[in-house]
Amino acid sequence: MTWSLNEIEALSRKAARGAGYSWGLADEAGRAVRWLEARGEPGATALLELLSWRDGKAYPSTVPGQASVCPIVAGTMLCDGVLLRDEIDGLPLHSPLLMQPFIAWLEGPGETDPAARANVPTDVAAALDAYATRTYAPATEASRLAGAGAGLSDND
Amino acid sequence: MRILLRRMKSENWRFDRPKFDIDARGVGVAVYSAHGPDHTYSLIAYANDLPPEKRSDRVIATEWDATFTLFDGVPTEADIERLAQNIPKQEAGRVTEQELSVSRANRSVRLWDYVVDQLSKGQQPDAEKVTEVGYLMRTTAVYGSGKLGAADRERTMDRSEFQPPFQIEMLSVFLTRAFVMDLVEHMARVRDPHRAVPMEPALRRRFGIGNSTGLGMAPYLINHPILLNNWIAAREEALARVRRVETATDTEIAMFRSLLARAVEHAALWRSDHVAQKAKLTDLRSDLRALTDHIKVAGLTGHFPWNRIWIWAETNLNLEGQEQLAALLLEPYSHLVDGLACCMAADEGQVRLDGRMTVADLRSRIEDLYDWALKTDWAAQETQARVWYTSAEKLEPRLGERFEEDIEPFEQPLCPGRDVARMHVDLAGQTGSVGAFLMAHPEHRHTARRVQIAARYPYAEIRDNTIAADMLPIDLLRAKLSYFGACHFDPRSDRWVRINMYQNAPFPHELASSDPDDWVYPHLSEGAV
Repeated sequence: MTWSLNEIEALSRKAARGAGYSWGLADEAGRAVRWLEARGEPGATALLELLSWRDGKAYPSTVPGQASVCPIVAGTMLCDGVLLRDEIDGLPLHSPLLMQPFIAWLEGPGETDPAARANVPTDVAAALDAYATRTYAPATEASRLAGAGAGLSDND
Repeated sequence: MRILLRRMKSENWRFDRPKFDIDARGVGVAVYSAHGPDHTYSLIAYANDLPPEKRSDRVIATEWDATFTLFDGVPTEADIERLAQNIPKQEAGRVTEQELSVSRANRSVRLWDYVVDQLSKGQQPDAEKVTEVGYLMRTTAVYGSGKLGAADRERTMDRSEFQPPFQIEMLSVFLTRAFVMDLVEHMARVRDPHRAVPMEPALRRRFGIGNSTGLGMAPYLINHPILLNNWIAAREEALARVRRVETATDTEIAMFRSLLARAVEHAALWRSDHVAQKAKLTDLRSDLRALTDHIKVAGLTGHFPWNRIWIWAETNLNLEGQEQLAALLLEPYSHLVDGLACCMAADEGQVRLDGRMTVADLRSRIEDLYDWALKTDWAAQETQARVWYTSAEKLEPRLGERFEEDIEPFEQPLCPGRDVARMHVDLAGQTGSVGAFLMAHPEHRHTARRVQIAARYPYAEIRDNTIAADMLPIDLLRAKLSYFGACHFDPRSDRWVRINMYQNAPFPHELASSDPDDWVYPHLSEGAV
């Protein structure tokens, strides 16, 4: 079974958010995984590895200067012009594969992703989904009644 | 919709139905193929005998009257069997890159039973009853772009037929309409093989495909600012081109007059029980009367006739009338506006945050573009009353009440106004680059990117509070649906609407001999009820 790039990107973004990233950095994580998977690299697996390390940590403990550095944070700093290209090489990056897209994006947005499928192992996808589920509100009767729909019958 | 039909007509698309295996209970499979110059696409329809207590239009439904996929090519029996295990399950199934879209539809129960009954007795359904509802089935979701494992947009967007947005979905619905009408005629024949008749063609065309739309479309608009900008920019440019026309020909004037009369009829046939929509329909109808009267007096000859009417309308018509006029003004000028269709796609992912922008620049853009947000009192309860969230229940998008429910921890970032106001507070007194600012404030990253997008794309931002106590999601839904070309907007609550698609359009087998574009407004000669 393969996945579309869109759904892997969405899953990765939600999983990153579920593990504690800000929305903007979660967006970056999703795009980074998509970039890698579109090129046949195991981006989703790298993200899972990263999230299991990152989960529950406070953002300041993951930035450059710390003992282990988040590649999403460092990668965005690189693209934002806050970190230089040669400063990246010395960093003790966790899951360093995830830095690759940011290095590519330094050159510019690049071409649209190839029309590819993501080959993410089922257990990796399931584990990412467990993080993503943290972003969903629990299903309650009250939520179902008031949250959406017309509150009327659809047998009309 | 009309972008698609114009293309298929001009490119001489052929349509056929390689399969229609539906039994006496209305259960089975059908395949409808659309053959373009370079590619063939097939709608595979799985018809079901749905128990009424299971019928729900909401995302949380698990079974439907009919389920569909748009297949890239002509499906083999193996494809049909594989998809039979997945399509009827919708979100609980999976598809591959050969499937371009996944959708489902439910019957309009009131009209379905009546039409089957009439046709089975050898009679036509009554036009008035048809008009009251306008469709026999309504789609409750049409998924594309990689959802459930379907093909990403990247796979097909280089095909000219799929360059403009949502063409896959529009094609799926066009073929679905053909299936639904064939199915109702089939069920009538099942009931009485000797007396049953097919529907008379003009009456048959009065059936569109309904659509039941809920909250998911609102986050879509907020999350696709570049796309939204491109849609609105295309329309603004189209309107500007028509306003710049120096003199109108007799043909152009005649077309406008005729369509105006037909638009009056369209407004008369448009029904809703929703209080807010009824008020808008009252406005629309009175606006059309005022417009008709004004043109009798002012005429359409002379210099820049369309611009003169437009300026008059800005001070004399309600918003409903102005929007209707804008739509009508484009109609005689297909040679000026149709080409803008190719400007309506967008790639949201291509835009990265510019970390080198200075904080001072970011601040001044905020003060320019989001002045409305900075003036809002975000601390007030009614200002932040709502929370957009996703439910664990089938991932249904929902809107909750911040102070009545415990859902704030699950809030989605769908209020740019508030987020910009918060970022503005933290930007006070800061210098240096946006990148450096975001290093210390990662929580503002998505907002900073959005401000930069709003600065480059003038129509990208929805300049209003999306979490206010009195915010109506249906306003957001209507905007997106109007770009599809949907008609008969009929809200059922503040967050749920019904619309009609392709009503009065030719069917696939009629396209070669029909006008592909002139079907939205009812033709008066058909004696619309």
